[in-house]
Amino acid sequence: MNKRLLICTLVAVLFASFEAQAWGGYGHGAIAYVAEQHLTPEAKEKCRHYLKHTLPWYASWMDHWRAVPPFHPTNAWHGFSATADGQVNWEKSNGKAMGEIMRIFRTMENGKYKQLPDSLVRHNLLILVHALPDMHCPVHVGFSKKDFPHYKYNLTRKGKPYKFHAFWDGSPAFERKGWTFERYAKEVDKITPKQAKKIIKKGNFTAWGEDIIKQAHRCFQITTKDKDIAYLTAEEKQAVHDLADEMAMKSAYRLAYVLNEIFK
Amino acid sequence: MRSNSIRYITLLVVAAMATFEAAAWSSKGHQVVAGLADKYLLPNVQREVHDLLGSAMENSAELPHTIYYLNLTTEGQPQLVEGDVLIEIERHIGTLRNRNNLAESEAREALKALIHLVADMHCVGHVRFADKACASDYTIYLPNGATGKAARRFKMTWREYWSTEHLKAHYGYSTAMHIRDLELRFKGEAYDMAHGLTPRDWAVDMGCECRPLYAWAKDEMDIPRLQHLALEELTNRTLAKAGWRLAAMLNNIFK
Repeated sequence: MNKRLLICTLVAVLFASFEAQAWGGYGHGAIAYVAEQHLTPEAKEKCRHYLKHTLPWYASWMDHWRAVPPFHPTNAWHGFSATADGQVNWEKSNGKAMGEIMRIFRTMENGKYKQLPDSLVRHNLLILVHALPDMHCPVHVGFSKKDFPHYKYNLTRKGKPYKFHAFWDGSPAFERKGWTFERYAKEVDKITPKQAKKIIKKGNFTAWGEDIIKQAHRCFQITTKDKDIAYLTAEEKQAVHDLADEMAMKSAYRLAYVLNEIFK
Repeated sequence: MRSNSIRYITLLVVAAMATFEAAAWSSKGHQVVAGLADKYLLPNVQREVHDLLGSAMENSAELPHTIYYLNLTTEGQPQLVEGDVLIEIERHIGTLRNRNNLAESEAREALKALIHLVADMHCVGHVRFADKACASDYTIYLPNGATGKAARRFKMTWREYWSTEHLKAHYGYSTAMHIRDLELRFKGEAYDMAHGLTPRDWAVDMGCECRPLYAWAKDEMDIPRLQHLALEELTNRTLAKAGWRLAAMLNNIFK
């Protein structure tokens, strides 16, 4: 009987490790795919010229490279900090995703990219493709422990501890095993031109930041401390998808806007 | 009771291993190579190939049960030993050239085998140099690059590493999307990769691509994160070569 238990555990570990690998990068790829569908022909051609690949190809690159020593400083470029009253904390966000994205946009907008070496344009594009969607992930908003001490908790999965951050990082893929990016775009990208205009907010980065902060609070209301993610109700699962998809679409449309503006 | 439970457990383990293996590049990598080749067939060749297979090439890249290796000398020349992938490829080419004198089913099986074996031959993990014949079974470890409690090392064989790990980085990609990216990256080199080359030239080329890697490979080695990321380009280049070479070969056979 002990032998049976041991082998069943081994089997479970095999499945678990496979699933953990399968999560990586899905949300980023799907967002970049949607963004690419909304590029102008000029922007699409320019992106392909500099990247030699589609946008989804590089969507997760910063996650793969952050563990390589020369890229350690980019660890902070995946989110930004919020103040207690729902504003972007610029003092703490300058070296983070929001600050980097604004810096790159200002360096490249209105044709200024033409004055930069190709390698720098490519490097800047790579950062935009990952960091702009990344800062839209609800758990990538830094709420201070002092102002929001009740936000520091983990979830459970079948009774075992499960990281809150990891759950929301993978939320676009939650219960969508085997979905390709094309399927994600087909089922989730139903944004009307009027909604797109609201999302873009005339390219106001500060307004984007405030919107992201406002929506980020929702994840703590959906998956409260007592939740076991293996046993969410249909309504709770729907709420997870609603928030994940809303933020994914916002980031995709805003990424497309930034690239279209740079290359117009 | 005891023997029943052991049988039950064995079945569970076998099922788990089968799922694990089926999820590897095995299917995805083969579909990418077959799909890329299909796009570059001449119209009349594509018609004949699809008629023979009863579908597009991508759907006919399933696995045979035997694993074939490309056996090379230490200098990277084909060894042509029994069971070598190159010998199998040349045998199937002969069958297809003689297809008008054979039953359709025999030609179909030869075509399916070719679609699969050309991809296999271009997988770095399927190359065996005479002085490192066991390298494909080397145990290697792939660290996730994290430090502290989050640090993990994934154990696999050298062959599994080359068959699966770089394709996993693009989880969510459909075969069509993967093909489009290979085209964007390598289309400028497609002619040089495939034109006028025979399978024996491909073997020598794979020898050149792989020799430095096999000099570096050791049993029980860690593949550092930086090297792992840098090696992805080679996996994609060999996939692209396999696709365009398969297309060129079929265009030649069915012209």
